Amino acid sequence: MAGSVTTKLLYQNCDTFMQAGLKKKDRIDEDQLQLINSKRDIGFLGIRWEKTATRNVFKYNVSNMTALSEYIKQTMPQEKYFSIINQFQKIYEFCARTEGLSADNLLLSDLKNVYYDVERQKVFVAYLPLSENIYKCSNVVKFLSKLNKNASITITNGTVMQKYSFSLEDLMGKQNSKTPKNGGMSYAQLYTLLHDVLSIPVEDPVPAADTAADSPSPAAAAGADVPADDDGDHTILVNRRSSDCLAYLKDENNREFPIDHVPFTIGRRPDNDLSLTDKGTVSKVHAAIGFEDGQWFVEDRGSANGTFLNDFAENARRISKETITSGDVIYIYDAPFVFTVNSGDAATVIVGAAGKKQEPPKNKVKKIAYFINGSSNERIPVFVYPFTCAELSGIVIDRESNGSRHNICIENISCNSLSVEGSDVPAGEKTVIFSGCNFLYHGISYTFYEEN
Amino acid sequence: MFSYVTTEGAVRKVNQDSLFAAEAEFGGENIFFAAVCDGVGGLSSGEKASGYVCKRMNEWFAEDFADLMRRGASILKIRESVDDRLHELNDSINAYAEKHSADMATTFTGILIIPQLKRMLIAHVGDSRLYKITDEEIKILTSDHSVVAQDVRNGVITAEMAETDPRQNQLTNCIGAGLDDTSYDYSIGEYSENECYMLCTDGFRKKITADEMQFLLKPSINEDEKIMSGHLEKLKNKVIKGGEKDNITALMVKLC
Repeated sequence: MAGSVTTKLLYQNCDTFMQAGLKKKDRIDEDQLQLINSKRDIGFLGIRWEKTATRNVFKYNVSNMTALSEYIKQTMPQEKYFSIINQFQKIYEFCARTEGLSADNLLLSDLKNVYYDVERQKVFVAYLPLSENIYKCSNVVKFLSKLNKNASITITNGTVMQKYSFSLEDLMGKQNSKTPKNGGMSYAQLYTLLHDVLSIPVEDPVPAADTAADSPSPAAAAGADVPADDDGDHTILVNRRSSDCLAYLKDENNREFPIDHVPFTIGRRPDNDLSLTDKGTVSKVHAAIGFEDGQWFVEDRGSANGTFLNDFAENARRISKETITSGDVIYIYDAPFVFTVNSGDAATVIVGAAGKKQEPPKNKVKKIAYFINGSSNERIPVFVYPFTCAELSGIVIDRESNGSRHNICIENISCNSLSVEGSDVPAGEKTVIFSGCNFLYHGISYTFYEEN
Repeated sequence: MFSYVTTEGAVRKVNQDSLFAAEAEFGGENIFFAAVCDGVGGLSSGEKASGYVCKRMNEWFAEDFADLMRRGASILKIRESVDDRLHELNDSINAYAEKHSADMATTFTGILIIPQLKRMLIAHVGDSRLYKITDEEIKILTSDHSVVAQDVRNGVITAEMAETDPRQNQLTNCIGAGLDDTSYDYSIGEYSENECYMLCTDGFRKKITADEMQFLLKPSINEDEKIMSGHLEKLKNKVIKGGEKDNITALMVKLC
């Protein structure tokens, strides 16, 4: 029964309309239609209903507006991004709290169905004034996730951004057939997320350049306990906090594994986010790190040998799910991983780089070798063999014992361009390298040095 | 064309540095092999170690290397052979030192220029250095195996701090000193005519700047071996005036 709404754009008399096609039997609710049309300044697109013998459509006037799917492609500051989400939260809240309206009738199935008025800096959402909400189109979580995925944002506060992304991923992970139409996120939850968890304060309405004069505060009808009710035309300032939360795991050899999304799975299978393929004591999917309600946690995924927290002994207590904080040691059976939440970094980064590992802290473990990238002069430290790294993907450096001496080998697993000191090393083969050895990896020259 | 200078210096009574340079003709072209070693150890151990390494490497050049060249071995094979020899020397120095309960060690920095392969092979362990000098610049081709240099590489201290660091003489790698299973640095590179290569022990380089070296050792002004040795002497005297207490050794070769 629950289907999706099809939309298309029409141009009529110098105006642009988004047309939502309905089933012929769908009955509209005139009260809702009138109410929505009178509350356009909340952020609703004006609705016209046209029904003929052959068609039953809503037309939304979107003249002079930009589809949100397009608008967010332009790089915007993080504050702006959250102000858009915040405006959406208010529209959502208005729908949910106003008698006669239903939040399930919001048309959120696609980012291109939501509009942005650049002049008024306002978000506009289409509402389906139907007496039965039979369309599957109002999944808030999916909508916000899409928005988050597609938006190009300059991040000024990595903590907030990361927490927000993780919360969405967490909710997305819970989506199933029993999820309510709104995707399992109420307006209050969204409000809490934005304002309590992310500490994004709502300031008094700041008069915009053109002061969006259409604001006789109809939102007052929405109730008083939420101080955020205004016409949505305000600036949001992100509260910079000192605690940042790009987190990572660190193994015994001080190798770092950035946790760039949740759930972050750990196990023996290679498709895990952290795969420990050479450890027989690790189950295929052993454990996972997640993020829920602003808290990090680790949970065991039914491993054979168990996951332990801060204490590993034969008879130590296996954990099933525990919250963790920076500094906790997670034992994947006997292999310890230190969970660390990075300290603040307000540097501006583009969202695509949000998951990028930050500079590792000073290593206490001695590095045993290093590479120098011939073009950038960057050093890649080696702390343990066999050594692999993202920069040199497809090759493995290993140490082989050879009586009283050792050899260092470079093995080409899956790289299609590797040559050592001028001779090609095809995939599947390996060759001995030495301290001071030069090799070309995809045309970039690297020099390998051992430290003694 | 090559020349060298070596002295026990102003303070020490013995010269623990050793050096050698050898040339061999093969297929109408001259192969050049030279190295400097800075011996470490009490009594006569230091010079024994450095002298022994020089002698045995010279033997390697005359025997093993000649054999390899005759068989048309690749530069990688030659490197392996040098590596095997140096590890063998390491083991025998350690065995000797244990027997005589002495501390023995030496650095080794050598350059082998093989025109047939159009390549040069640099073998290096310890804190001696190899410089490449052209008319435009002077460049260090080796990285010091010393505590100070390692700290600089790891960003613990800066190059300026390193100059006054009290741990100047602490090595992280050398031949002997009871070390086993360490690895030595090699680099395979190309060379061209009208370049000078200069091998020196740490005594030679600490009291003079790289620019001073380049000024006197650049290829264009070192037309023959006599001029070369005059310039090396000049630098040596400058080093001694600068207050260097260590042995001073430098060897340079100009390719032409």
